[in-house]
Amino acid sequence: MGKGNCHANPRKRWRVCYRWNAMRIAWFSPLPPSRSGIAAYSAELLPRLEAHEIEAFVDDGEAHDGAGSTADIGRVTVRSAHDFPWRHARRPYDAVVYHVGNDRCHDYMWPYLVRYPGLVVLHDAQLHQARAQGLIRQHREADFKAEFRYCHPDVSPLLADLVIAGLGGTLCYFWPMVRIPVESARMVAVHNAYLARELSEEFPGKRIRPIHLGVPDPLASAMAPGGDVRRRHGIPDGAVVFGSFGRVTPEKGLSAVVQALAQVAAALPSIRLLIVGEVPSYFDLMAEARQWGVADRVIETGYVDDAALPEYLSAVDVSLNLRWPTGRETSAAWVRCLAAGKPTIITDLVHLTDVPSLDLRSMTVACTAGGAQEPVCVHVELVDGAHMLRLALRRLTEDAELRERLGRAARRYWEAQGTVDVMARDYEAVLAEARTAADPIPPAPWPAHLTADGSSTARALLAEIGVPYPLDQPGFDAGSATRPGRCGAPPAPRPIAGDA
Amino acid sequence: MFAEDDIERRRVEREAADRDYNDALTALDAAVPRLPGLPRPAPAYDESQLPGLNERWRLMTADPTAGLRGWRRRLALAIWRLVGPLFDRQQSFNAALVDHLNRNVAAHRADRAAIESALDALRGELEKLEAFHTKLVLYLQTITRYVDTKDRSEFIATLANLTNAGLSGVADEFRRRWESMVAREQRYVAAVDEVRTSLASVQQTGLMLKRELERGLAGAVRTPAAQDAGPAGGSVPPPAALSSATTDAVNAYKYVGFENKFRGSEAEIRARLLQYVDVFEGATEVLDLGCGRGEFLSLLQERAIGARGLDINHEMVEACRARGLDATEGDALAYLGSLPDASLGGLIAVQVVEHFQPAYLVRFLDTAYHKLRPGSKLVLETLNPSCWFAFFEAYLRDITHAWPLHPETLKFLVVASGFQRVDVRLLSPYPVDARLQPVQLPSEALTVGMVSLAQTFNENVEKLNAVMYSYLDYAVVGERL
Repeated sequence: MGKGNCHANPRKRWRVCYRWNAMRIAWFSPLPPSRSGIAAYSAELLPRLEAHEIEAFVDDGEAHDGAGSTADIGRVTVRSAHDFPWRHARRPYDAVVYHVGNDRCHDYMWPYLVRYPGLVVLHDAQLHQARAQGLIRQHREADFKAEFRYCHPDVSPLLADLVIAGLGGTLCYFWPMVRIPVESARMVAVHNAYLARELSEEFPGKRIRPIHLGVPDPLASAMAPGGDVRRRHGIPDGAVVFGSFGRVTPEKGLSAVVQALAQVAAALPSIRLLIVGEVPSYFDLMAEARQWGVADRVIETGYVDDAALPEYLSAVDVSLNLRWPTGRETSAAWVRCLAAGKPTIITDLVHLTDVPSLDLRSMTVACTAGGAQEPVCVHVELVDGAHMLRLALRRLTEDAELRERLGRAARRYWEAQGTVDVMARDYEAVLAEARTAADPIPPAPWPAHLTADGSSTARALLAEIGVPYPLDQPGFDAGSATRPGRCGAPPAPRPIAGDA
Repeated sequence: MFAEDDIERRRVEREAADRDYNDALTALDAAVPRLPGLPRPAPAYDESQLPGLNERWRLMTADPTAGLRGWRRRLALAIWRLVGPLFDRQQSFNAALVDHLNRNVAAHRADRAAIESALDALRGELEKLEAFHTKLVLYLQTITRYVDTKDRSEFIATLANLTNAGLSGVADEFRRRWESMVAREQRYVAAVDEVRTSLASVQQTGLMLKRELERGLAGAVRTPAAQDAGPAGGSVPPPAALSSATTDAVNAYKYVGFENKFRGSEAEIRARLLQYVDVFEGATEVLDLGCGRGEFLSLLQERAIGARGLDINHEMVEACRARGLDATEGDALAYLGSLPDASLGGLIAVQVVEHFQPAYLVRFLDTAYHKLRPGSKLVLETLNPSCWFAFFEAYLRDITHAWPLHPETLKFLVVASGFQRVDVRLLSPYPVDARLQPVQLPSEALTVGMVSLAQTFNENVEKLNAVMYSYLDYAVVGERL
């Protein structure tokens, strides 16, 4: 007994084939120099998948260095998305990967992901705002309404009008509009197990797989000491610095942090708040700090490029990674802080309940993963946010030993779950599965504009001069000209009306 | 709340009114009076001959005979008496005519001035009328914008913003509470699971205590001869008995042949076991139970992790020793029982536990818990009988398999034995291309009926694949805290 002696051979043969079976992959994702987090994510991941032949397709406006250029992302060739249909028709890809999120930088993928089913990596489980804005910006209100009705057939379609009238606000979070990308995909990958379970319940029968979110090791290269940053920004020796990283937005809860800081500042003279990232003009955090009398404790650095980020990471003692509202995304910035061995403060979100986190009210570890767990961060509940934030600031300022312990556990957690290697392994598995998965059959007819062939303008122009549309002529074989002959036989690469 | 048809009726009415208004405005615009071409005043009265006429109307002097004398005078008077009246009438006519002409000059002049004045007045009035009409159209055109902007006044905009803020606020508050509630619920569910597991463990311990107590009581009254005969029926047989039962099932050399036929190459085994090396990173005194030819021991040795192997098969142990690995021949439970408590830094058993009888397995896990040091890991890899292919094609193939272990069952037993952070890792996914394949409809067959049929078929394929061709192996990984 022991060591793999229990199996018949077919499986072993497969294992050998699997390892050497490289794929030709089309990769739809924003890429640097786009400042999107997913651009950085792809740039970090793609070099680890270089066993495969990968071509990245970006928005035409972002196709840096021109079509066919090779960016600094391993052997990956970067092309304009407009080149995808003919390249696919000429030599089909084994798998098409779409990185979909709630941001306009993903708008360009929609025409393709419905036409060419592939692996959809859903970074946000909430696409309503981006999709609505994308369509309304193009004056395609009717298409937005049709998609809303399709995604949420059980709610009043008048809600779409509410959004068109600009009254959506956070209501949008109730209706995430993910049905189309999920149903159009051969399979879906998400970055947390809760979301995978939630989507599996909502879309029974769909292949929905959780994959780890990985970031590179910030300690791999000698991390610059944070002392220079502290001196540069006038932070006194011995100060305990709480840091926030990334563009300052209301979702990061910094207004609440400033208020909490004001309430504990008198008792904690050493506490400082370092805001590392671009501050938009509409969000005057310093004005709030002045209003609360803690302007001398708050330091804004402005935009900091990626190269300088480790130095700033090194300069902080605790990282603030609050998020609300959320599209159930897993924050790469947070994982990066874990990797750097920093104690972090996170919002207590449902999809993060499997992360061992410390409840400072009871000093107990909250975790759904079972068993006694070592906490890797501190959580702040949404309904008791102000109180828990004050507790967190106070405790983490005063308790250096706790900071140390959380930092060590954070690093171990990252080593087990958050490295790029772990993520790349997961990708290998889902790519192999997506390669052979069948194209989906939508359970209900798509909204018409998603399947329109895009010829309406051409037809109208030709009709004006009395010329029939050529593809309507008997004997014209559109399929032979455009249909790719790939495994799984996807539909002809015709753009969607108004989208392509 | 307005009904859909009511909203539609309002829309139609609104569009009709809008259309009527625009049509009327267009008609009004078309009816703006254009300034007519007014006649010029008649030419001025011709007075050029009047001075001459005024000079020449007089035909004769007052005394036509003046300056004549005598007969000449008389002759002249006689002639004048004859023609004088004629000249006199002509002159009277001339005088009357010239007088008439002279007196009409003023009237003519006045008439012309009056006509010019009237035309100017008329032109002015017409221009005013045109301007008024144009302004009227412009005024009516502004009404549309006025009405529209009135609907979008700052009050409405403010109201809309307030409504938006209100809706968003309520929605956000609801979602915050919902998020926190569900997060707490998740933790409560997990906590309840842990409590349930602990309760099961307590129950199991109680049962074992009861059994041991009963055995002790029975032993106290049993005769020495009965004690020699072995344990009472139904109790757990000693490890030696189990091990011999396993090994007696098939001759050892035949089993070696079986293993050599079906186990993979050494490289394959090493590649497969590589995933467990990280689990024992930093550990010492790891026990590899069922070490076989020592592939995992070699991997641990390469990473400088202290380990030793145990196998019941003499040939395997010899193979390990020939490679310089520390391996012992013996029964698992007996060997574990001989070790001091908390003496092991880790324990791995790959494709072993399915060879144990249930009672033996329970005792094995209990013993392993006590022999492992706090912080050390336990890894148990076995076939996944919840995958039908694995069960029928792999599990049944080996006659030394004693009991199939469902992943949840093994996890439960491990948790119940006191291990924490217990996780099930599903391994060896069945090759995707060898599973049942879903159908794909060609585009020309995409009718509603066919789509529904294909959808049902594919869902069934998914369900069958999920039970028949899922993961062939799994590993339960736990930690002794």
